[in-house]
Amino acid sequence: MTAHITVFLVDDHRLFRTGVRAEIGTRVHVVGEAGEIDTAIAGLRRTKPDVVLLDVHMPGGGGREVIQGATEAGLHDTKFLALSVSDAADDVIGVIRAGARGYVTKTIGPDDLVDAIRRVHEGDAVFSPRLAGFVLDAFAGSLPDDLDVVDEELDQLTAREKEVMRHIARGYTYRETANRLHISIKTVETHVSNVLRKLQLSNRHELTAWAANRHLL
Amino acid sequence: MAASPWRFRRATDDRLLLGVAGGIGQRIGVDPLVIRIALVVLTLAGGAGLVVYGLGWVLSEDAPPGTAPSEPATLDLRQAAAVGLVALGLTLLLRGAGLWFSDALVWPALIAGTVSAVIWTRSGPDQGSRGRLTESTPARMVLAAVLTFAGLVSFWLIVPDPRRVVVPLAGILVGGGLLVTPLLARIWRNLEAERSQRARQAARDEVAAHLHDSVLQTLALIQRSPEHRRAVTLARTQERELRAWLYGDRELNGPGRSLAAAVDDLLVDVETGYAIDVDHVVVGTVADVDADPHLPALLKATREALVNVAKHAGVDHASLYVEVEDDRVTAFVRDRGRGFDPVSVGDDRHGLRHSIHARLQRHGGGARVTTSPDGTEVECWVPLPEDHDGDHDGDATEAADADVAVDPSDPRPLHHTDVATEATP
Repeated sequence: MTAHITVFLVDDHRLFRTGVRAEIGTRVHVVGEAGEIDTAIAGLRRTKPDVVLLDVHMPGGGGREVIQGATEAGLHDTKFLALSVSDAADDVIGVIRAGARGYVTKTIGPDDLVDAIRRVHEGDAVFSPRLAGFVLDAFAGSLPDDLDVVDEELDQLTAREKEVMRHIARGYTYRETANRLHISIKTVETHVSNVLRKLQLSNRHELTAWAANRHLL
Repeated sequence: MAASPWRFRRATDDRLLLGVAGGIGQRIGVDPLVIRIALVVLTLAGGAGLVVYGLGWVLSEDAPPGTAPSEPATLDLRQAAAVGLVALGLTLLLRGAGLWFSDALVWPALIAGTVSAVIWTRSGPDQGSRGRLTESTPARMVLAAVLTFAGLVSFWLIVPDPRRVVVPLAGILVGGGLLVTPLLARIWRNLEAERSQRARQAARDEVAAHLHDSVLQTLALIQRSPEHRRAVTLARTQERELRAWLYGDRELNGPGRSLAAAVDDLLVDVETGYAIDVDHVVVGTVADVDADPHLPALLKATREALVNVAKHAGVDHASLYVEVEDDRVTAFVRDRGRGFDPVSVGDDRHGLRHSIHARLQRHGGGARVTTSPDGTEVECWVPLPEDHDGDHDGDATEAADADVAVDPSDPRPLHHTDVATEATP
């Protein structure tokens, strides 16, 4: 079911790449791996993978640079799923705003990882509970008055989106969230995708200021 | 206290010269500063203030040794205005009677004194400890302001005569110097402190980056090998501790534990003692958890819920979600374990009833347990005092209340106990 998905691993820890490859290699098609930004971009140009598993932190930069390099190379169909050990808010928000479609921690199990790859490949956004928590924090409160251009649509979450985020933060899957809110799973996916879009495009200054100030977690 | 209403004790703790003004102030409940200004003004009015001061000294007595320092009188605006007006009236009276130096001296001094008083009272409590003129910075500030303003005003009054410019000018220079020197020194000290703080932060960031690239990665790797249960738990705990140290907000927030730090501590405790991994998310902040009347109870109830998962649910994983809302803090503990029937829970298991329900009810909060064969969720909440300093003024309340309903599409038996006892404050 997922074996046709081509996956590229970008992580500067070889041990981690080897481990992930061993775990998911039979279920998705791993077409390459890289440990540095330059070789990663070259590898992506060559293999044009469906999904890139991307370490947020790497020497001399990180996931952001790889996504930018790939975008400049015209790889618009490639989806990026960010992996991180840090959970530092500014890292996570940064890589999402650079264009990643989801974020999971490196402690994720193989089954969940394959599922996340599949969902990102299908165009959905993958939110870990932690990322949902970040979003709730960053979009919390009323809009600041000193914001010059307020885009109501982009700078605020709807009540429904907040509920969906809250359920994900509580550890519910998309399906469970859909059941509890009496909506279809497709609707949940739409809500999550909209939140991702807001996260990427909103100029809400709190978002960046908050992320920069917050080195915890 | 002295028997006669005219006798009073000179102040020992609040005095500039002999403590007379301080004593009068304490006796009649007016800020000694006001008395002092009045005395100075009267002194300028032909020396009447000196007479009053001398009289005051004669009429007063030394405080007996061992007397506890009295509470400093606070400056009541009405009292200050009253004493000020009396002094002004006396001044004008004395001026009319001819007991007067000269307008060129008295009015500038009056203005300077008033301005100094304003500066003095406006300075914060940290620098406003009033002491002797030689010691404290505020006294210096006042003296400086007096000299500067006296100089400025006399300058304005007598400028036609160039020979008389020298004294006021000296006043301005000396006063300005006194005023500016401590200010410059403070700015310099602050800059120094900031610089070294930045250097420390940079060093810490460097260590954090290094540990992040090495140790945290390794710990994450270990956790990916689930066959070594003990090692995974160990790695997880270590990772949590290391992360709290690296990215923790403890020292940034002063002495109190923030909510995130308190949850970290709680999870280290639970994960070390029980075979369970907990994913946690904290939204919103409370600066000092231990100073809150109810939050420690919420954390204890949450701990109990997590321990219940470890003991009874038959799973080794749980999710914890804590959210700071406008008027309350809510914690959700969720597992995918076997669930249970709360009615048939034996009397030996007091945890749910006593450690969770009763405890939270005592604090004006409550708990709600939703359980099915697919898992259990325990929702705990306590009210938040109105003046809490959380960073959420959002509209988070309605959604949490909407979660009362359980999945009606699930045909399996489902238990739902609800002790939602929202206490009205």
